[in-house]
Amino acid sequence: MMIAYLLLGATLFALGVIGFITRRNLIVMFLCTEMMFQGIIVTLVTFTRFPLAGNPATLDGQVFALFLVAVAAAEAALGLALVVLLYRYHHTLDANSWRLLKDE
Amino acid sequence: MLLADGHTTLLSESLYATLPFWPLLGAIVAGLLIALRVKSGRGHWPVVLGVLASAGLSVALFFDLGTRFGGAEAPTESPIVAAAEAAEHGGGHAVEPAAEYGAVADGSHADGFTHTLYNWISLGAEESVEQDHWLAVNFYFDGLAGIMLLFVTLVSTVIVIYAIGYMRDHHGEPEPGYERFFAFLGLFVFSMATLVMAGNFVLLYLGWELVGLCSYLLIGFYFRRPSAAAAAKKAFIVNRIGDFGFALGIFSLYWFLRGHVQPGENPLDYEVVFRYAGHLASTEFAAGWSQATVVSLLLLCGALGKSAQFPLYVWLPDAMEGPTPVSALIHAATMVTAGVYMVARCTPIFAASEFALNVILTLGVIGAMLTATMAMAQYDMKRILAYSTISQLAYMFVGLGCAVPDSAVFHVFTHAWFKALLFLGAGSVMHAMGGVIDVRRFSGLRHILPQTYRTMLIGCLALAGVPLLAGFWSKDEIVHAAFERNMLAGVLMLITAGLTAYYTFRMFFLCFHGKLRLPDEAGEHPHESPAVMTMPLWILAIGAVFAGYLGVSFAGAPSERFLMLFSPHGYFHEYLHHSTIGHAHHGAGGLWLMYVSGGVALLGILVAWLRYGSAPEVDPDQKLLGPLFTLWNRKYWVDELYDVAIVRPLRGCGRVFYAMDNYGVDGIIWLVAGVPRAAGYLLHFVQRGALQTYALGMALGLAVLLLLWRWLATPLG
Repeated sequence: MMIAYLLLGATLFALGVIGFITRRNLIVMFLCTEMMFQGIIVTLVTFTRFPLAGNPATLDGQVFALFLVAVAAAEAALGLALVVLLYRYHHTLDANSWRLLKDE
Repeated sequence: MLLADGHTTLLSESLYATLPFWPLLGAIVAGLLIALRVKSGRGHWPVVLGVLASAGLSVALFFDLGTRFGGAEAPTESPIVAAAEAAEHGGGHAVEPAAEYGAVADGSHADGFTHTLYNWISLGAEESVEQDHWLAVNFYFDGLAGIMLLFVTLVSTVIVIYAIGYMRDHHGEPEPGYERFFAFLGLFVFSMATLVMAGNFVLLYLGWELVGLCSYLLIGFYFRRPSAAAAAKKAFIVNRIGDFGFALGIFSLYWFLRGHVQPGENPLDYEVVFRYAGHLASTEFAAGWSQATVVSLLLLCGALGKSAQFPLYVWLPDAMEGPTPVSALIHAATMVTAGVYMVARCTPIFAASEFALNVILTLGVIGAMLTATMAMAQYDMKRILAYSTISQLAYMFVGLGCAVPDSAVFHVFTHAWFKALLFLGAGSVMHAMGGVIDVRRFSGLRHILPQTYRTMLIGCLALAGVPLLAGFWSKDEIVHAAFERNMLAGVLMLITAGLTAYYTFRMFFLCFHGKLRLPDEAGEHPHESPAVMTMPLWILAIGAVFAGYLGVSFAGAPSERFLMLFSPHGYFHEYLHHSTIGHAHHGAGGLWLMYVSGGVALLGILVAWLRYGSAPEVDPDQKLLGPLFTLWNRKYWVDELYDVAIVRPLRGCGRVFYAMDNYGVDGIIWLVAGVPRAAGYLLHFVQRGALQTYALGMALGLAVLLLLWRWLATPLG
């Protein structure tokens, strides 16, 4: 059973990565990072539910999952604010409009 | 510490100990004037006063020491030499060091004494005494120091006063760097006084290096002129070769004597070194070489460099690039005498090594002949004098090599007066001729420079060794000693004396006689130098005439005296007995030799008069001697030989090392820095600022890492 959960998490993460790399819209890219988060959360919860052989059962993964949800909420608020600011600069949401992180 | 209770004639030892510091103070004040940009043209005053103060002190010291020596019972033999000989005959180790110490300490005729100023360098604690071993700044006062200080400070004073007039242009305005010049002069007198007064070898070395430094600074005074800068460098480097040996000599002294000294004694203090010098003579260092020979030869290296002796003499003629007072002060009267002084000071060591004495004698004879012949064919007045200086210094070395250091010091003393006079006279000529010093370009100057003419005549007569003038008495003693020791050396010395008289007067006649002829640089109305320059000439002329009478006496039967009046060895020699030199063994003496050497001098002058009396414009010698003249004129190509044999290989070596550093070592460093740089340059095209490309790179990189980890972990798992 555990493999199925892990595969779900991995798939969510991989979809998030692919989306982040391929989509151009900033909001969609932002949503993709959220998807990666979800993949990780699923993985963490899986390891809590099915501890590996020899390891004691703890609630660490669950705690992390809750923690991540809280962080993701805060980050979503901040991220959307940034997106709005960026939109005001270039009146577009195309990620290729911003190329400031480079060696001149 | 050796001052016996009853003989405290030296009222103010500590006052005498301040002697070297007055010129230093003057130099510092002059230096402050430069720093504060006070250019009033009176920057000479602090230095003149400082040098004058030390001259006054040294005159007082000279007479004070004389009274002291006169008051004490004349010792039969110098205590230090006696102790050295006792140790030698006693087989070194057989003599208990304590007994030696007693032998010196209880003899109240210990002549020199040490005045300690302060502890200087700690040599570490000694276990047995549990107290620090200190190298002190201490001064050693004895006859030798008294005499050296006397003429060093007096001649310096005269020269410094002369420089006030010399370092100005025709309108009396000071040359650029006037204050700097006087500051250096003050520093020089301080250095020389320190060298002479030092009571241990380390302080001696300090003074030794300081005069070397001052010499460098003063030769290179016109440092904007490339030849002056090169000459300064040459002087410094050639001296350094000698100083290397000198330093090794001091090290070896410490090494050899460390085991012999008593607790509390410093193995580099003069008193201690000379007390145990006997051990050096009796201990073999290596196959047939005693420790004394090793130390002597190493110390001699230093003396050869500083006193410009063969084969390290090459720096001195070039040193004429400095202003003339510098030539007079450093390269004639005082600094170059340091080598002779040092060897005379170390007489107990040198006397113990027959081999070292023979080396000194041989080098002295070679040097005297070689440079006298070079002087025969020069045209630059200052160069002629420079070569004659080397030749005269070689005479002193012959004296040292013949084991008569008192005669050598006597010649140092008389030579200082007339050679300073000759240089200052040449400076006066140069001053009037607008800087021209080539004797071919002027003649008949006696009409316009009467004062210079007369004083120069006195100086030349003294240098030529004409009887009754200063040079005669001292030179004759050395020739005499050379005859006693080695007939060949004596004959060569006599020939050199004849050559000296000849070339001195060749220069003199070319310059002052014949019809008046002036170079264009002299201007319309060349004139005699001001009084501030001629007065020093006359003072030195008095010295050139009378300085020799300190070293003759009027004792003995008239038939055994020179001209029925004079017999050699007077007050000067008595005075020197009260020093580390002790009693030198002079031969019984042959009166005929004095007449012969006087005759040789007069003959040389006569020949010069016949050939050059009318100052011919075409040099008759050049025609007569032909290739020999060229050989002499080009100085035997020694400079060129050194250039090919030493300078060029060294410079080549330097180039190789430079290339190794510049391309080898630096190349590796450049490579180490260059590879990451190049990699970064290649990769910077990837960094285009597109966020998603970065993300792709990150994802792919992560994938690669994971696959790699998987691939590596498989065999294990």
